[in-house]
Parts: sequence; structure tokens; C-alpha cells
Amino acid sequence: MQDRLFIEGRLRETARRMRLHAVWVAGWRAMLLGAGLWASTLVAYKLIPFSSHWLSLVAWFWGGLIFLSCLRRGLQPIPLESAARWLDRACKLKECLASALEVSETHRWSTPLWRDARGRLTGIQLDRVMPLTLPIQARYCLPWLLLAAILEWVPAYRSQAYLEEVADQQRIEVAGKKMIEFVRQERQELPPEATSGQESLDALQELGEQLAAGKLNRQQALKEVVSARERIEEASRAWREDPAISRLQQAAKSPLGMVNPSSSKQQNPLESALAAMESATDADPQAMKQLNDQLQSLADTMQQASQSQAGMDAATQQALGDQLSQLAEQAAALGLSSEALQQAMQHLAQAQPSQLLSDLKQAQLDLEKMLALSEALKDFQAQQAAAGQDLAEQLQRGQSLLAEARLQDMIRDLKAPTTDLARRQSILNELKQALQPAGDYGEVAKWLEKAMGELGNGQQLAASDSLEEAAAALESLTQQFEGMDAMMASLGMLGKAQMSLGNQMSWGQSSGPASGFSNGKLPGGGVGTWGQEGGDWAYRDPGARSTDNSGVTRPELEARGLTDRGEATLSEGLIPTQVRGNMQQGRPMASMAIKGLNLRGKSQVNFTEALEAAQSEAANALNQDRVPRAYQDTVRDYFSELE
Amino acid sequence: MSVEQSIEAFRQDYQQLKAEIGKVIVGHEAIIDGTLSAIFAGGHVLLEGVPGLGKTLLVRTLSQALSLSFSRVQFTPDLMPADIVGTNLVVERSDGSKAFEFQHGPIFAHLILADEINRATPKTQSAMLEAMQERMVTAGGATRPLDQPFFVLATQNPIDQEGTYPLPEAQLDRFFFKLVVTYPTKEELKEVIRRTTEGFESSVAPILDGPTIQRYQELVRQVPVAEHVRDYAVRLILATHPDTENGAPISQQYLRFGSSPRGAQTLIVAAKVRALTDGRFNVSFEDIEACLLPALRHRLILNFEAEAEGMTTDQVLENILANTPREAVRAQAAPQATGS
Repeated sequence: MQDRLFIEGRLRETARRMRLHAVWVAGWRAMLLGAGLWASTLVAYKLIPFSSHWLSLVAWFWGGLIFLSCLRRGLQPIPLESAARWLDRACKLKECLASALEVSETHRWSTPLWRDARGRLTGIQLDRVMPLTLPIQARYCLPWLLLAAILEWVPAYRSQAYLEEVADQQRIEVAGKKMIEFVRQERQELPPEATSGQESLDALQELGEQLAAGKLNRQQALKEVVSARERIEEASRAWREDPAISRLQQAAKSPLGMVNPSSSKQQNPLESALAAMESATDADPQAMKQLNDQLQSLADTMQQASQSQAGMDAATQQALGDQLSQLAEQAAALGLSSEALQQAMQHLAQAQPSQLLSDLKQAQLDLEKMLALSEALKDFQAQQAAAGQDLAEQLQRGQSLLAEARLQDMIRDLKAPTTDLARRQSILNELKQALQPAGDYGEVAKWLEKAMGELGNGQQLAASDSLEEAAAALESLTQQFEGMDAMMASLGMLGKAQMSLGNQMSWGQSSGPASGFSNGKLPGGGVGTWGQEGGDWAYRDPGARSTDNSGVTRPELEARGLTDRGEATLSEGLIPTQVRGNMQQGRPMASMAIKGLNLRGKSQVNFTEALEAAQSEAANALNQDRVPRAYQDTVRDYFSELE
Repeated sequence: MSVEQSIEAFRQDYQQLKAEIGKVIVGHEAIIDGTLSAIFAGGHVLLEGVPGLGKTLLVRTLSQALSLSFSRVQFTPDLMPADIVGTNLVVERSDGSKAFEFQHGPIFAHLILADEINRATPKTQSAMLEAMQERMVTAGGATRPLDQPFFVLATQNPIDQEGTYPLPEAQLDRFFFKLVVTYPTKEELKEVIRRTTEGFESSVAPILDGPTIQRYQELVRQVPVAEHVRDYAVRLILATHPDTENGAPISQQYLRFGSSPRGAQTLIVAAKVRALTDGRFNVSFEDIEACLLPALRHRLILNFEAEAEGMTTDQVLENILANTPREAVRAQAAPQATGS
């Protein structure tokens, strides 16, 4: 029996090794199959343009094939009988083991058979009988792998038409994704009631999804883009012809923009704050700047003197003291506080240069703050001056927000039981005057007229209801105006997409029409004869409003008034060079005739509007850092001095 | 005696037997092995060969070595069945009375040499073949068993076709082996000449006797056969059957009838003998393959096409052997062995 157990043990060991060998061979067989398939696919890929996803698929299939083949073989148990037969065959045992395994214990020959089998098994070394060498499949696998490795370095052949098609497809998908992202950002800010804008965004969204799906070719995509653009342009044209929208547009185009009633409410606290500062509201900003420059110059002189080894002599000290007192007088003349300067003079007398410098800096800081506050208040005052004083003026100037607020005040007063006859009469008079300018605002005029009639009949509450309807109608118009902005932005996005797809340019290379308001009917950004096609309304640069850099810190771009970064210096390449000319009498100078634009005829652009537009563009350019820093002051000064 | 001892004794006796026979018979090792295999398997042998090759001498020597009674029957066309089995004769007793007494024929011996069996009439052949199958004779109204062990070694001359009565297939099938006696080689012929023309005399000592032979016959039957070896034998037999799904293509082409189940029995038993003579405890594929031709060559019936093309059953069997794999379903991805 022990012989039998020994035989079975060795046969189990043989079966395990056979299974291992089967897994080994199966793996190499799968490797061969996969290598052939991979190399073939690679050859096909180098010649035929198909998606590289197929290569990934084949690679995964290859790996999976090896894994599954090994797994399948590994999970297949090998019976002892098979192991016995294999060993009989391999070691030429003449079926001794198989016979020993089959014979039963009760058989008369079992004992001698088992003994004989054990004796034969003892001398067998499985690792020599069944070594794990590379099977023949490995030999055939090598050429395929080599071919595949070589092919990796061979560039794929792709026709120019195919490459262009691929590039077009990418551009189409990028355009679609940009549209979808743009719509998402626009919808965050646009109110749902602005149907004009919402409809254009819906159209853009639909187009964007269609493009991003990647199922359109270039022609089809262009056709869709042009079609969508025409639809939105048609819709925008209808809105632009609305007289109410024109009024609102006029107000928006002014340098002060849409006057917000809330800004007027900030005026009082600001005025009171400034009134506390000794007549600073009347200070001339130019004089304040000049004073600031003088302070800076004095501080530099002081710095140099204190750092010199000789120190500050009496003459220098006297000169500095004289300059300080002169500056203090100038500050007093401007109505500014000169406390810091007084302290500076004291510290100069006490020969405390560090304190003196500190005082000078403090004086500069105070001066800059005053300057900023002065300019802010001037802006507010300008807004206040531009705001209409009554409902008629506000409607006339297109200041819908102010008009709405005015109506709300009227409604509040009419609903209050304590409103006296004089007030009601003033409201009635105001409504009468506002009736004519309200005619451009759709249903607003109708409701105002109704309110007038009701108020005239003493129906206060009914009149207040009518005024509420009028306010709602006005608000709706304001929202539609905001929607127009989105509509224009959508057109800008479509224009950019059209340029990208039509000219086969990348999205970043293609630029939409210039941003900002402009006049004229010729293409191109700018004013006058360089006006934008399509009338007054220009396309807003898509994505310009959607950029939120509030969280971005850029210390190198801090306002000049808060940190001292020294004088801006031009790079060498920008420093203009002057070459002394050599004029010889009688010799002609080189000349080149350049054809210019024909500027004959009467200008179609109002000068004031052109000026305002130019100033607005300049302000935008300065705010967006599109002007080199060294030229910013010059540009700012130039445009602010235009009258 | 244990099995190992029995086997060892058998092997030694077998070797001794061969050696003893070899003192008289030069060469013909395959014939001697085949004959001894048949004897230990309990079967009969049909020897086919031209005259003068020592067939009769072989049988005689065999009988001496096996201590078995021997009788030779020369078959002629006029031989009657009674000449073989015996007949009742009237004999006079001592008291003067006459009675019938059965006179045993030459068949009542252990070892019978039936010379040129194909020259006798079918009737006489059938009397002989009945005895071979039944191991008894019916004569004179009585059935008389033959002595055991009982062997018939029949001969037939392949070139003398005139005046012969070829054995029918059914009766050919009763022979265990058909051994073809070939001409001796040059060296063997020289030895034959030396022994027979130079007054060389050799005596054959008895090695075995009847009971020992019977015991060995029982031992042979006990040799185990593995299932896949048995399956191999069966597939070889089935491959000889034409017009069946298991028939080999060559069988379809050249055979009219294939081997009977008796052929399969013969194959297995003969393989067992061979395993024992090799000192092994089990039958192997080589044993089966070695016994295939002598066991089946006389059991296959060639068709007209085979006869027309001169195809022999040996050629058919060799083809079947070459095209029949040893194992029907090998283990998947069985490793290539490098040998131990």
C-alpha cells in the first residue's frame, strides 16, 4: 500500500508540473497569436487610417488572451491517469505506471506491479524529464515581436486629405465644447426672463452639442454655424429695431454706463466722509499729483543724504527744511491735511532721518488716498449729474433702472394712505411729462396713461397697480436688453467658430470681431470709417466677461499707489533711437506711395459719440493691461484730455 | 510461490526452452517465439513456408523440450477423418471373442504436426479443426477428450497450389498465430550445413512438462492490461473492418472482411505472454504491436482489388499500425518529454 501511495504522490507531482507546463505553453501560444495579430494590426494602422482605439483594443485582447489562456490551462486539473500515461511514454516505462494505477488492491498482481512501478519512479527526475524550456511557439513569436518593434518607429502613412479631415474634426469638437462652456457661463449671469438672450443661448447650446458629438464634417458644421448665426442675427435685428432697446443702448454706451440707483445712495455717506476731510473734494487732481511727485523727489533726496557717509550737513538740512515748508504750504493751499509734513519738519530739525523718511512716506500715502477718493467722488457726482431728475428725463435718457426706482417711489407713495394732494398732483404732472418719452417703451406708455386716468379720477390704488404694471414692463425691457448682450456674445462665438472652421485655424488663433461699441458700417474695430458692420452693436468678445480673476493674486500688478516699484523702465528694444540724418541738398529721399482710404464726404458719426467710444475703448485697454506699462500714463493722459 | 517468483521462473524456463531449441534449430527466432507464445497462450499455430525450412524438426524438437507426446500427420488428398481421429476396429480378445475397439488416431497426442493441412479434403480438415477447437473428438459414437495441453502446429506450402484445398476463413480463424517461415540467412545456412553434414548431433533436454505448461498458461491469463492498452488493441481490430466508421482507409480499399473478436482475444493473450517473457508485470503497447501481424494476418480477407494489386494482409496491417495512434485522445498540451 505504501508503494501505491508513493506512486500516487509522484504522479500528483507530475500532474502539477504538467499543468504548469501546459500554462507555460498556453501562454506562449497566446503570445504568438497576439503578437501576430498585433503586428498585423500595426501594419494595417500604418497604411490605413483608422482609429487608434483599435490598437488599444488589440493590445487589450492580446493581454486578455494570454491571461485567459493561462487561466484556462491552470484551472484544468490533470488526472493521475494522464500523468501516469505521460510518464510511461516519456520515460519508456512500457505502461507500467498506468497499469499500476489501474490495478485494484485485491488483484493478485497488485503488489509486484506497485513495487515494480515504484522502483521505476524512484530514479526519475521530473525537472529533467519535463524542463520548463522555451517552447517552439516562443521561437516563432520572436519575428512578430521584432516586426512590431520596428513598426513602432515607422511613421504612419496618412494622406493630406485625411490629416486635414482629422484636424477639421478636432476643430469642430473644440468649437462645440467652447460653445457649450460659453453657454454654461452665460446662463449663470443671465436672468431667465431675458428671452432674447435665452433663445440665442439655447440655439448655441444645441449647435454646440451637435458639433461636440463629432458627427458632422467641415461642410456640414459650417452650414450649421452659418444657419445658427443667421437665425440669431435675424432675431437680434428685430430687437435692435425696438425703440426701447435703442434708448437703453444709448444709456449703456455713455461713459457712465447704466446708472444704477444704488450708486446714488452711496453718495451721501461718501460725501459726508469727504466733507470731514478739509475741503478735499475741491482739490485739483493734477495739483495733487504734482505735490505727490515733489514729495517723492524729496524723499529720494532724503534717502540719498542719509545713506551718504558724510551724513546730512547743515546746508542740506536747511534746503530740505525749506522744501518741506514749501510743500506744506502747497498742501494747505489745496485744502489737504499737512500734519504729516509738520511732523516731518520737526523730525528734520531733530536730525531724525528715519523718522523724517517715514513721515514723508505717510504724507505720500495720505495724498494718494485723497486723490483716489477725490476721483471716486467725482465719478459719483458725474453719475448723479447724468442721472435724470424725473421720470421723463430718465426715460428720455434710457435710464431704465432709475425710471423703475422712480416708479416704485410713486407706487409706494400712492399706496400710502397719508399721501397728500400735492404729492398726488406732482405724480400726475410727472406722469404727464413722461408719457411722450414712454412711447418708445412698448406697453409702458399704455400703463402710464391708464395710471394717469385713474389718478385723475382719484383711484390711487388702481393707479398704483397700473404703475406696477408699467414698472414690470420696464423691467422686462431691461432684461431683454441684458439678453441682447448675450445674443451679441453668442454671435461673437459663432463668428469665431465660423472663422476657425472656415479658415481651418485653431480656436485660439481665430479671433472674433472686435469688442466694445463702435459706429459705422465698415468692417473692423474702431470708430468712424473703421466702424463695425451691422450697425451700432458690436460683438462682445466671447469669454471676456466670463473670466473671473477675482481670486488671482498678481503682486507684480498691484496698483502703483500702494507700493513703490520705482520708475518703470523700458526694455532696450523699446527705447527709440535717434539717428542723425544726413540731408544733402538736391538728392531725392526714398519714398513709397501707399494707398490710403478715401475719406471724402460728410462723416456719418457723431463726434461726441465717437469720442466717448474711443475713451471707453482706451479705458478698457488700460484696464485689461493691453497697453505697455511705460505708455499707460501717456495713453491715459491723452484720452482724458480729449474734448 | 509468489507472483514474482512465478514470473521469474517462467522467464527463466522460457529462456532455457529457447536455448534448448536453439541447439537444434538454427535461427527462426521469431518462429520459435511465436510458437512458444502460442503454446503458453493455449493456441494453435499455422506455419507457412516452403519445404525444407525445418518446420517438422522444430515441432519435434519442441515436443522433446516440452516433454510432450508428439505425432505427425501428413495430410494428403486421400486422408480420411478416421485417419486422424481414429476409428473402431474389430479386435479379437484373448478369449477369442471379437469386439469393436476404438483405435486412437494420431490426434491423441499433446503436440500434433499437421503437415500440409491444405492438401487434405475439407472433410478431413474439419475433423482436425473440430478437435482443435473443442479439444475433443467424436468418433464411434463417443466423445473422447484430448490430452492437455493440446497443440496443433499445422503447415501449409505457399507455392504448391495445385491439388490443395485452402482452409476456409472460419477455420483459419481458429489458429492462434500464423507464422511465416522464411529462408535462413547466410550465416544461419552455414550453421545448418555445419550441423547437418558434419555428424553434429545434439540432444534436447526436457525443460518443461505438461502440468507446468498448464500452470504457465494460467499465469499468462493473470497479467493485467491497462485500459488504454486494451483500447489500443480494440482500435486496431476495428480498423480492419471495412464499411464501418472505425475502419481504416486501407481496410475500406483492400479488405472484404476484417478480424473477428477472436483476433482481439489472440492479440491480448499473445501480448501478455510477451510481457511475461520480458519479465514485466503488465502489457505494453509494444507487446500489442509485436503480436499484431502473426495474430491477424490470417484473419483478414482481401478483396479482389487487393489480389489484383498484389496487396498482402501484412501490408494492410502495417499500414493500420502506422496510422493508428496509441492513445485515442492525448492530454492537452502534453509536454514534450526529454527522457529520463
